[in-house]
Amino acid sequence: MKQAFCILALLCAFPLPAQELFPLSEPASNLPKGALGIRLFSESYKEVNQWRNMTALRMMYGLTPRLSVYLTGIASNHHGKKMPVEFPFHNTPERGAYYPYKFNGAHLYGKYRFISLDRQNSHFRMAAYAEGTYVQTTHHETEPDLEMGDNKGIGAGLITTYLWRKFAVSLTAGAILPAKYEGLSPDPIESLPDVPVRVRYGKALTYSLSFGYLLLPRKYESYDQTNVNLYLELHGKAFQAARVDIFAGLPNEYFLAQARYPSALQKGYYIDVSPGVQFIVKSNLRIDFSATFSSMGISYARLYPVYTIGIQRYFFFHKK
Amino acid sequence: MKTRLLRNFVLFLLLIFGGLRAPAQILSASVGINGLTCSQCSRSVEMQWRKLPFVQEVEMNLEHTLGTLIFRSGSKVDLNAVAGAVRDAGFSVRSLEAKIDMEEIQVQDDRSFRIDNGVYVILNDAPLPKGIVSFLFTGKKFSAKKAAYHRSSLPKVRGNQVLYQVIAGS
Repeated sequence: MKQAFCILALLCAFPLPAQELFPLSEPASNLPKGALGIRLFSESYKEVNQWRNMTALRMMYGLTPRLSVYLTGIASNHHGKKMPVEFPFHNTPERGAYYPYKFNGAHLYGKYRFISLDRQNSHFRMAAYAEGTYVQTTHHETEPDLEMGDNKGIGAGLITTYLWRKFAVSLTAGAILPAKYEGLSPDPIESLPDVPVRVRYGKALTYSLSFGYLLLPRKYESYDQTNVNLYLELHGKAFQAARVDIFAGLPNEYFLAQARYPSALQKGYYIDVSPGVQFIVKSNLRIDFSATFSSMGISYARLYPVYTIGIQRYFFFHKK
Repeated sequence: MKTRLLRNFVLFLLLIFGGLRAPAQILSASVGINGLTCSQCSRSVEMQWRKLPFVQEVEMNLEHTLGTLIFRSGSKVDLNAVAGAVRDAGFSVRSLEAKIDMEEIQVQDDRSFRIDNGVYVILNDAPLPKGIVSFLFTGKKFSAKKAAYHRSSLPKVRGNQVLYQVIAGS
């Protein structure tokens, strides 16, 4: 946290504070009408003796100047076929287990910009977004995540972005309503059949505060100058406890008291901090790196630090 | 730097000789864009402009968030579409100033003139020189500022005509 404030202080100390193309958060601005954007991004962290990785390929399209839609396909080695043995009593979250790399599902996102106050070197913008994810994944923690496909569900929220010369700040607040998951947890006695479980993940509030600063070029002269942007993003979630039903759908179904859940299924909140750096080559190819550290509370869904890398490009179509 | 000078020189030649070949024409426009703060955004505006069939060349000034457009000789220039392209890229027009060759244009008693389906009303009383005249466009679509000049009565336009209110410069 101390590191985060040092970086924040450093950003604010510059006379000309950048960009709003945050590595982790969406700004209130949209894609140009008719432009197609392709983004490949990936999130990795070390778990015991292996690296967990989630990789997504996103297609973005500017339907109108104010409305953009994103469709993302997500793959990872983050989810097994079944919930852990004796879920949720033990092995929750299951650390260090080997899961094969597989396609998880798709995420659909729409963003509508409803306020634009533009000036010569600044703008204030507000946008509303809605998102939905369709996956069928074994997610061990109550904290829901739609963007990287941990959960099936829907979400919505508001984004406010202010950009002044080289400095950008953006605030996002939203909610996630995860769908329930029904699957199997192996019985500890191997000869017995798998135990059907039903998990109702916690509803969550999501929030982020992102800062960006254009470091280079100091003066624009051509599109060929590589832009270097520095970012600091504070982001997190507040979520409810999960509710787990064991032997779901069977005559002996019962609801496990939430007080007995492990921490990963209890209600909680956290704020992470993610410094990042971005290079924009020839005013189109965008490459960003960021690392996420814990600052207040923790997310049980990932292990820190989480490294994110993204590469993105816009395509414009001529009608001439 | 040399390439840029050469490019500007070619643009200048296009402006001069393009105008000579087709007298009654909008030659070029200089558009101030609000909300632009990065080269990627600037490129988005340029790409939207390049989609317009009457645009021959675009030169962006990133530092001053200005775009200069050179129009194809003899083509029907639609300045509404020029402003619309800025909005399509997600930004706003701060100012639009167009150079029009007035050599063979007949200005009416009510200080209006026509080019293609555009009806241009000159709001100020400045004497109109012949040759290339610079016009500043007013109204929400073309300017972030309120116009300093107003006209109580405006000429009527037909269905397919577009009314532009302009302030004549030099």
